[in-house]
Amino acid sequence: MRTKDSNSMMNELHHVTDLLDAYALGALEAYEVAQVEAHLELCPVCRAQAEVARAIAQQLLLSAPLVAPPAGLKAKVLARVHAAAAQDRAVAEAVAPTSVAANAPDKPEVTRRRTMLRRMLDTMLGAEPLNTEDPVAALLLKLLAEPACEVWSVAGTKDAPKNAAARFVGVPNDREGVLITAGLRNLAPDQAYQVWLLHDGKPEPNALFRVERGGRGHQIVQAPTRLRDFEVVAVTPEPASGSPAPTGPIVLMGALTA
Amino acid sequence: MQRDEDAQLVTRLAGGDETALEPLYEHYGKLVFSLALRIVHDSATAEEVTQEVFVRLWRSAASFAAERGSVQTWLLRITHNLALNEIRRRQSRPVAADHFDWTVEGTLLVDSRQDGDPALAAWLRERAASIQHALAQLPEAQRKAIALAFFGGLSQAEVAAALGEPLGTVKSRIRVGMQRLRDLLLADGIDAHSLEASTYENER
Ligand SMILES: [Zn+2]
Repeated sequence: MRTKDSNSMMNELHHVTDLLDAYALGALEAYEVAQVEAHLELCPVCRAQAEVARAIAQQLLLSAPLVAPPAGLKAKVLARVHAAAAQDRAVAEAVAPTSVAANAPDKPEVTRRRTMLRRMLDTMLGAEPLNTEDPVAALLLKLLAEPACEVWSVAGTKDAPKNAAARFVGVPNDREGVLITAGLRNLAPDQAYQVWLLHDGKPEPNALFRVERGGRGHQIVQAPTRLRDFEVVAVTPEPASGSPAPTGPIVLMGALTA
Repeated sequence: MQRDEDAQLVTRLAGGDETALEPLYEHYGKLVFSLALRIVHDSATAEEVTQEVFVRLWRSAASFAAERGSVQTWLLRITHNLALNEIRRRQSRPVAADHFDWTVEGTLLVDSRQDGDPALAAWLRERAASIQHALAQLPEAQRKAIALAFFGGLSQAEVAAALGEPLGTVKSRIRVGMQRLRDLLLADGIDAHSLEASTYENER
């Protein structure tokens, strides 16, 4: 296996040969993956072996016994792609529609906004097709089309599940925004999540919402004044009828910085 | 040639033509579903994964058409990733359930009646049989360690824990098993040095 060339014995000792099969199977620990990838950058000998291992793994993907899918699957696949296509068109039309007609490639900012909007719609809708008549979807499409629109990150706190996160979308000089959440816990029927907008550190009560499977939720937030007057958006679990002041722990929080 | 036909279909997808999806599903839907089922062990979840794979194909068509890679290779990789994500998300790892016998179930479950492209389907059956044959020649312990890692999404340490074996033993089973597979596939005329050679298009 080992070639004696200008490489020193030291280098040979550090070959990652023993890790390459497990690497191709995706069975290494993260620190081993880092070690292998750093070595592969430098070593053509190991790179060639890694390529062979990858080819074997690719062959293994073909080893699954061929099973006829249920008869309805084709229709489901075509319907899902049709829904995705309709959503993509709505996104493209909402954000910078003129650049759709032009043959020029989209500006990076336009591409970025479309990608953000599509991800938010995916989070919001799951596998459901987009209904542009839906008030939340319609507002989201409208907001993302505004050049001054901001998308604020709202993070899960220590009192939320690990993967809890949200985005708050709005134009700072306007009052309307949309909050899209994922990964929140499902609440008991007598509870609901409440949105708070903080002005000078004081929480002002806002909309109530519930979440679906996957902790997905979305809610229109109507601020009493312009969004730029508030520093922070936060979410707490509260009684289903809402509270004048927060009583539950903060599960989501994000700064509304410009 | 398959590759040209696929490339044309992907170019149509990239141009926003949804109707190109149906022939691509006819060609590869069964392959994608079968691999997903192999990993998630549940028909409803495998259907979900299959739908997501084709949505990804639709959305990646533009960048994919530019790369001019193999549709089959790409679909299998995405299916593998998404199916593993799914079992990790559910954290219901099919560790104990992985008593899969390629030699028996592999041939019994094949159903050629629904195939959209008979030549491609025949090639896939032949190729699957050939890999299954190679796997069947490995000692059970090596086959199992490789399957738990690759189709169960487990690390070597997790495989060791699942089997109640020392980590060193699992590592060497994976290494020796993979080397043996390479030799068997080479002996079977499959060029393991080239990834692309493992796809239908390049063998015709
Ligand atoms: Zn090396």
